[in-house]
Amino acid sequence: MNSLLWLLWAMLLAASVSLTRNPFYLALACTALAGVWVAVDGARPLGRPAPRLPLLAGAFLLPWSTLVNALLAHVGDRVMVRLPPWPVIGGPITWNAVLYGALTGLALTAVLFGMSVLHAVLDRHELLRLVPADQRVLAVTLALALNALPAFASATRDVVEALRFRSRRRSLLALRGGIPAVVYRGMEYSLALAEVLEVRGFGARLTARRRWPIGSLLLSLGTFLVIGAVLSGFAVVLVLGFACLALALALAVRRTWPALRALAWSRAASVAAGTLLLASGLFALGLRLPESDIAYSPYPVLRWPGFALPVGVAYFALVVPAFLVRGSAR
Amino acid sequence: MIDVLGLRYRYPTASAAALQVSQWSVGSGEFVLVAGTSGSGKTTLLRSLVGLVPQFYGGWFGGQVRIAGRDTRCVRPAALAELVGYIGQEPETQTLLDRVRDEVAFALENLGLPPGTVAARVEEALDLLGIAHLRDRALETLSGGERQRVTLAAALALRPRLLVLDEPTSQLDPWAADALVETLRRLVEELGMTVVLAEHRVDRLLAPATRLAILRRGEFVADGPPRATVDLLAEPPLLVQLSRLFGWHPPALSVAEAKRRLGIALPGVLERASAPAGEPVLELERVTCRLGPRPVLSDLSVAFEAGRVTVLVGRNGAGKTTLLRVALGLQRCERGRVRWFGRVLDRRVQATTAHAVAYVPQFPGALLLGARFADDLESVRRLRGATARDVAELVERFELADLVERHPADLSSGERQRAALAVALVGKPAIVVLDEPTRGLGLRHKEGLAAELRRRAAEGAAVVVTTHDIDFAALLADRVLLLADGRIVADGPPERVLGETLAYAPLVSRVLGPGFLSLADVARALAADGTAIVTGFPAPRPEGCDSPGAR
Repeated sequence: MNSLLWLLWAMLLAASVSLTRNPFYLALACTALAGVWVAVDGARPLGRPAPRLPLLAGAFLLPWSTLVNALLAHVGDRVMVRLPPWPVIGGPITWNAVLYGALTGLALTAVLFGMSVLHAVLDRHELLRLVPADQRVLAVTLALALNALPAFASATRDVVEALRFRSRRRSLLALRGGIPAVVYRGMEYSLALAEVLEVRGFGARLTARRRWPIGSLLLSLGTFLVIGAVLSGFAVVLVLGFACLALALALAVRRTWPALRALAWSRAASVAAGTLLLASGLFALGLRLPESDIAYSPYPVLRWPGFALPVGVAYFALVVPAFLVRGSAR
Repeated sequence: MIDVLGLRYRYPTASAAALQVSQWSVGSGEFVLVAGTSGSGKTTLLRSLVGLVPQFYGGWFGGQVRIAGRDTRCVRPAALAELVGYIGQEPETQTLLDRVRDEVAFALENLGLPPGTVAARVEEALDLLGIAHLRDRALETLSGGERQRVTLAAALALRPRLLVLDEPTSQLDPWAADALVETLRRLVEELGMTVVLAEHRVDRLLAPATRLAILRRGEFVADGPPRATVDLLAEPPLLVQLSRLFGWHPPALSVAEAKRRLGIALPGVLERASAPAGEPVLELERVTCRLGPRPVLSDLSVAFEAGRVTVLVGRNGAGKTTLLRVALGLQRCERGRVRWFGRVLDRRVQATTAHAVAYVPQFPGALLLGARFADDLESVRRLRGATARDVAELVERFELADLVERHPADLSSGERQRAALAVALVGKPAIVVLDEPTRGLGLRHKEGLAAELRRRAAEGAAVVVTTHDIDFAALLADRVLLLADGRIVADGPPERVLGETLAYAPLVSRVLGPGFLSLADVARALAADGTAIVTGFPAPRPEGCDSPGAR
């Protein structure tokens, strides 16, 4: 699996999971995700384990989302209890809201999990090479973003370890004192990283031959035109806007093409690409199938969710990387 | 190659100038060693040679720095990358990709070199530093020293005309450090590369360096051939101190030269008082530990006793840091047990006794959590029930009195290291664990730290230190463990484990033999009656006499 495929996998996961509140599909996606997480954590293709932080975050997100939704959404036919007319939270607490809150928490946790897997497997070198050479600002931002999570994770680890020998309390309160240090260390690391990028000649070629940023201009113009067309209702402007965006995309693909070709396209990568494309197709098909019930909602009447096999297969196909991930750290 | 004219630089938040250089030039093919005490401006000078000062750090900049005729004010540091290779102080923050080969190739790709050239240059750089075996390793799995060599390879791969290195041997094992210095010497002599290097441990660099420039409070106080300037160092290196003991002038600049001057040395065996071993307070029993699929510790058992200083040495990646982390409960082991004070280490034991453990990790900044250094001292003082007077004395001993009100971010690397050590050592911790504590420390501060740790051991603490600084190890160790591939391959008193090996012999042992570990030993022997060391140039051998050493 190369970085592009991992990105595709993450996009498919984020899109499919955030679009549904159907418990069947969410359960399938979470099962697939757990499989990938375990495989990645075991194989550590880049030497990094999958972060444990999402586990903690999930343990917090799920009850929090359930509680908040139950207290704020007083809608639904299955009333559990009625609170007195207090401001905001007063009124009926419904099973519908509890279920919807729990499902939302589950979806958020799944996306978070997906991102944590991505952190463990994304090859920063491959990704940076995918950025067109003249997009220096984008590349620097990407480099900093890719390293921000590890930087803050490592800073957190260092500070938590230091606190173990500095405090009798083993609670979140003890960690509170370390937050400024974590932020400071993370910032310091980011600064050092930017320094390394600079001394390693990042963007040096750009300095030598500066070109017009046509791609960026087309992207900005296209976005401006599309928004303008939507607001004003001029179809011609809309077409022009989309044409600019398409041109910008074509330019980006053209500039990225050598990097795309340089990626490792093994048989496993081809299998993964095929499966992910098939899953995307099935998911898109599912969006048009009324019986798929992707947009399931327990409001206003709590009902049993629908299920369509092709869509279920699409969600479960997210497990494919678990079978293809290989450890390369020796 | 380098022309500095009227340079005066002040960091954005500082009130005083960090650097003031009226005129300084370095020609092609020179090997310049920049020395000075902690906070003297070495790092700032090096940053100005790469253009990071002022282009990256901002601040007030006057005068000019020209590298091969290019004014650093007018070109971005990235545009100088082809010309100047630069390695910063902390290898932990110098890598940005995932695999070793990608990291080394990155700068070459940035310069747009063809793939074939990139591949060849990567191999060349890996071979130069002896790390070809790390080519496909994930950076995440490398030790600090291995990482340092990878960053060096990344700089060397560019084949720059000027190489600017900030403490490049700080995390290297002695053998690797010697190999790096030899590589640099060859680059200078055979390829005409210019090297400017800042270091605290200058002994191994005095002989290959063509110039020694000494900085004090941001200004050059001396610059010339090492033989002429080395005496002016505020903290004279061991070779100079040894030369002074024997009355050699000018001082010897290498072990070989010292041995030549010494002639035939017949070292006696010094009586060395070894601290009696107390109860084991920190024990590892048959510990096996892995990082990913790679075993780092293999079925390792060791006990650290109260009242003794144990020093762990070994090549980069031998498992020293992992051993400490497992011993402290910071890293899980696959098999085996850890005991603190005779109790199996678990969450409860850790929670109730962790305050009795002083730990300074390789990256000491994590210990400085407060807005002022004083806040950190106060927080640990309260935790360990120490008195304010104890803290004041500790601060005094580490020469940190002027820094207690400063934010940790405003401290130099060496000052930060000392501050972290002081914070960890507040009170009377029963277990003291230090991972590479001498990084960024000058000789005087190292001697001070050694004395402090010996004092702690005498008071009953178990002191465990990992270090690549063998001369520091010789100053304080009661017991030395040599680690290799996650196993203890030698365990014994320093005169045996350090003195009798080639790679880990302290400088004094290399000159005078395994009976002498430190300058104190030499001074003691000379002060006693001088019979412990017989010195002098060997007498000319009679004709036809082949037996060496006859006198």
